[in-house]
Amino acid sequence: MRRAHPETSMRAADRLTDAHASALAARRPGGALLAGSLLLLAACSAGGSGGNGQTHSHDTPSIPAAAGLPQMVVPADNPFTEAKFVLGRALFYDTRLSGNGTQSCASCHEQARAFTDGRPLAIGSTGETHPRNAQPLANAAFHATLTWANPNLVTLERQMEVPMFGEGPVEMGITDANKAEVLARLAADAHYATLFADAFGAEPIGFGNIIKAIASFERGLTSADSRYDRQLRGDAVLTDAEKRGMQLFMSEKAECFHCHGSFNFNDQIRYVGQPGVETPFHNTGLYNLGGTGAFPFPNRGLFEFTAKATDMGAFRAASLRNVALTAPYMHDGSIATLEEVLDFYAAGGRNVTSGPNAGDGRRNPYKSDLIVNISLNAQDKADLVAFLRTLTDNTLVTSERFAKPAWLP
Amino acid sequence: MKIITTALFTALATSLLAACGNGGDSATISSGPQTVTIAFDAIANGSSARCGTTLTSLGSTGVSANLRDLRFYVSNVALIDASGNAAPLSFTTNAWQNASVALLSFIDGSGATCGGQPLATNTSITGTVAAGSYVGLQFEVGVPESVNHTDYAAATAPLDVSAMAWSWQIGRKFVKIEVDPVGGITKTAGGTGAIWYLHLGSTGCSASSSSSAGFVCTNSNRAPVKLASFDAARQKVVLDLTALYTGANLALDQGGAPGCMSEPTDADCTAPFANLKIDLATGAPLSGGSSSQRVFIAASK
Repeated sequence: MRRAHPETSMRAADRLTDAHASALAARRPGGALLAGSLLLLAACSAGGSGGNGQTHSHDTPSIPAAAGLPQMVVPADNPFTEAKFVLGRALFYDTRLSGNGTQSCASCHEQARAFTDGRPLAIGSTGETHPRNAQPLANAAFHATLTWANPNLVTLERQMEVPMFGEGPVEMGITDANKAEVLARLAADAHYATLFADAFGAEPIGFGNIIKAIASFERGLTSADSRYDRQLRGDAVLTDAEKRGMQLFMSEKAECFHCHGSFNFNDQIRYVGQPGVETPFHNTGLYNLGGTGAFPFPNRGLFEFTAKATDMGAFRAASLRNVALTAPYMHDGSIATLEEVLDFYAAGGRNVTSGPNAGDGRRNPYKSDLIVNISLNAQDKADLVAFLRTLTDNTLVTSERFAKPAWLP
Repeated sequence: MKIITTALFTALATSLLAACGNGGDSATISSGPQTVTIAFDAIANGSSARCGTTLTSLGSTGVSANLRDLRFYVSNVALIDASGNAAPLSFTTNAWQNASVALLSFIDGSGATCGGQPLATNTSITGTVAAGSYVGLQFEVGVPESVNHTDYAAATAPLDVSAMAWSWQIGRKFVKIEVDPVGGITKTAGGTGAIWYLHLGSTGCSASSSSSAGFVCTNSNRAPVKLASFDAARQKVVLDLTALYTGANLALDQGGAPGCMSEPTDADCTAPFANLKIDLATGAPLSGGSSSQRVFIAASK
């Protein structure tokens, strides 16, 4: 386990106290992952390097999430409490938490869109366009690293400093000049006096406990109640098209499962009892500027950290849970629909024929060897899309528990 | 040669300091640590570099520029005696220093380019050093690795400054110097820019359970500085932007981050890293660089 300090753990459902939680706990028989799932993960892992040179296993895949969600890793200095979750939920939806009071976390992470914003690129509180696509938050607590490509961000708490205080780009826009004012705005609301006291006792309101509360809310944003999950539990039956799509998804023909085969439908996961955390990043052939292998600045993936050419364009594979709600796709939102995503992977990359980003991504020298030409006919693609739509969790996107509290302005 | 005396007997020390300040070179009082304050300054082309002033003749094309930001961390400060022995300076804890690092800030926020909101400045460091006779000074520009990755939101001064946080590397900017060149910046990739950034900090960082700090970085990018002759009573340490930007074309951005954000592959980093005597590829200090560097110099107060 690659982590800096001892951590306690919790089972995804243990901290959910309402009816939704009971449903979650009841439908999960064990909690341990199937052994086959571990094999699959090992097959997909590149240990923090880019996609190039990655080993490619042809082991039979397991069934993602067949045993539900595993135990979540929780930092020892921020044990989960329901009081923190309730406070964090309010803070998540409160625009007063941004420097100029115009934007909340939810501005770019809307519940109805599985906590994304529907834009190709996010827009910060001061109007600055972010170079990246806003990511979904469901099950984010299970990601081995956070955001599109950053080997430093391994806890929700530390990740949150980026949107709150980041200068390039400005997101929430909290600065040295306005941070006292931001705290004063919250302190002036009597609701928060109660919520902070419930969550943190006599601790004064500060960014440390604000972050802990929002992280606790995010740990509560679990998603395991999609039709896919329900059919695993015997509570739903997939259509023939969805079943064909699932078979394709798990097959060597479509190759999807190599990077999207865990309980969370990705390949960077962490949970309690894991033999080792792997942090693969993949170049999928989106770009190949001038045939050099380069990706457009500032979206060069893991390369931004390692300066190694082989890490150019290497990004973390996204979880496919709720993927039908999270369009547009890719780190820069450059693919609009699921159908186009499948076309992209079937072609083994993307050939950009004109403009400043021209170059044949299919021939990117640093492309993962998992991205190859695959033959998908129209029926195959329709079936795959039908399966991907079964990963939509309506409980996540409609539950009052995850919605904006009514008392907030 | 300046004699630095004891502080154990404050009144005595004060009078001795005054008495010895005029060039005595042999008397040494060795009864306890001495409080020392080291003044810093920043100049460009011989003139003070502050908010609202136009800096002149910077870089290879001699551009003028408006100062936007100028802050940096120093650590591992020591005074050097005539035999070459280094006596560590223990920082006094205050709003700008903790036990391991101090922040120097030259921007007061005045003028639109500096933000237009008043900011406190800090142009000196203070601490105690063993009594002795000292002739030189050494320090490191940077935040020690043991505290570089601490949680910004929970940190105490001077590591709680949002502007110096470098969250993408889970660290700090060691140096944040930003100027707006008059006439703007042409980007080789197309378009123009307004701000030439110099953000020095450790890069190539990743989470690691093998490090007590929780992270390891491939490129340290800390700059050691040694001033063989330095008299804290009569001299100050001056950051010379003219020397810092020597060889850099501030009217041009050659790709990567705008200006230099410590990327090993950014051509705009070549000149400032060479001037700071840091190997751009590895982040290690160049051999002998602490003494041969000319970015930080001693000058009369």
